[in-house]
Amino acid sequence: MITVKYDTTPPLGHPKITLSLFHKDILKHSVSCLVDSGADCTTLPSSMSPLIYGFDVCKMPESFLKRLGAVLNESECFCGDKINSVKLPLMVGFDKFTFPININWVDNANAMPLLGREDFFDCFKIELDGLRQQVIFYPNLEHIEKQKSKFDFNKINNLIARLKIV
Amino acid sequence: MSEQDYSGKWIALRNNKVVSSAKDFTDLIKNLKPTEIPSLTFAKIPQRGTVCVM
Repeated sequence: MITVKYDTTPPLGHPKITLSLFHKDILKHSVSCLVDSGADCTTLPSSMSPLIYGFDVCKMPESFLKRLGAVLNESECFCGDKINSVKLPLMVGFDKFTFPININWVDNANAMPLLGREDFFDCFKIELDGLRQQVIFYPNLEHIEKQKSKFDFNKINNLIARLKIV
Repeated sequence: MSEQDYSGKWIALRNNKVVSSAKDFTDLIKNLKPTEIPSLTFAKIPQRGTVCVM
């Protein structure tokens, strides 16, 4: 069981967790994500992707992204705004666990980092405790292990290396 | 951290202490050394009254 207290930065009371982002087993940086059961998948601004890959994922040619196995999307916010996005798996760390999840990189430099349902919510039972201002994560160890073999990172990393940008 | 209002801003944290803030992420990383980035956590503080999430 992992207990994370709500964010104490104003405006108060946001359930957030820190995800560590890895590429080729190297920690690139960490990001604080809003725990958002309304988000289909974990969402990060593509302006953050050069810190991971050396290039902005959303600015890459469609043909290259398709060879990587990325899914090109148009993400829709509840307010109706639509943003181009690219879904690509990435290794993330949370507490003592490291496993890959699909990241939806959105072509908006200031998009709020969101922890969404796809992949991550399958790995934990998540309890929002507003009274105690905390989120409790109960890991599903079996699913976390299964998640580790979901994506072919060799193919992705080889293609990125061949791009000779990293 | 609670003494200052970071509403709507991006912040860079090291050991839970704000080391830099900016109105957008691109500006935030311009002020940081590439070598220190792996030790940082980036966060966007939601603007007051924000209800629009994906």
